[in-house]
Amino acid sequence: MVGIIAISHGPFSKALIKSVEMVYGKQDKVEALSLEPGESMENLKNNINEIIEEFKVNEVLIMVDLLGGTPYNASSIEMENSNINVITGLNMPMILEALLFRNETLEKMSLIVTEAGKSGIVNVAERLHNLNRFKDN
Amino acid sequence: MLKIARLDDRLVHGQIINNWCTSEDITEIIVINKEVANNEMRKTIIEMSVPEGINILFCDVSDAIEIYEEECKFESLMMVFGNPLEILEFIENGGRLDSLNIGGMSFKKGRKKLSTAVYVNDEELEILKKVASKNINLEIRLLPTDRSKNFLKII
Repeated sequence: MVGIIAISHGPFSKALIKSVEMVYGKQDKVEALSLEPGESMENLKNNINEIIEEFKVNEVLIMVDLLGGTPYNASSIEMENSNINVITGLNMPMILEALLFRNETLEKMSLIVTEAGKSGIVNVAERLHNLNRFKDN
Repeated sequence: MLKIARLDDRLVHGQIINNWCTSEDITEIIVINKEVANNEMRKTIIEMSVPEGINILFCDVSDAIEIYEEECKFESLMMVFGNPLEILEFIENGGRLDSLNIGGMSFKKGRKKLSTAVYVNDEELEILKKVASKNINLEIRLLPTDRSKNFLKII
């Protein structure tokens, strides 16, 4: 089983995991970390490492809110260890899909989760417009 | 031209990429930090996150002194320092700054709070005072939209 960590600037990741657990119930080896104002990258890294150790799993997927942010910088360093991957752009479809496919390899799970994150973003007006045009034809 | 020189021990991160770079139309960032300049993994991670249209360079203080004036001619430049000591080294060895933005010094053991998200230890405070004494205007401001606080009035 792949361990899952969600990390964000402030409370987003913790709230997101709470929301997910409202739907799916309490999940094993799923943790959220918040970067607080004034918190160092080193401190966040230590917190990430603590969670990874507690997980006692072979592979860990870390999902962070923002490409380039401190959660991204701190967790990407962990990729020196090949059993860890990082995906940016954290959203709810990503977490839901990650829970479904966490018994796959980290590599395969990462591909699926990235795709879920992207396809969960839909411009509804545009999609409706396309649907209507399809009907007209 | 040099748009902003910033002290930030998180170096290049969300506030810089998503906020300062846009508000100041930055085209190039020079990260002046010997430790990171020698760490290929850290450099690659930061390079991957910088938006298209923004160059990023990493160097130590002596390389920075050699290149920054030339870069200023062609680029809308942001310089990011990771610690106060390298700023002092920069100006004591021929680098010139009119102002310095203190944008973030994380909480660590031994550091005391100066302002929100700005913590310094005694040694770092003395170094920053020295920097201020070189006729450089030190302001504390995390984001472009925050109110600028004068360092000398806070300490």
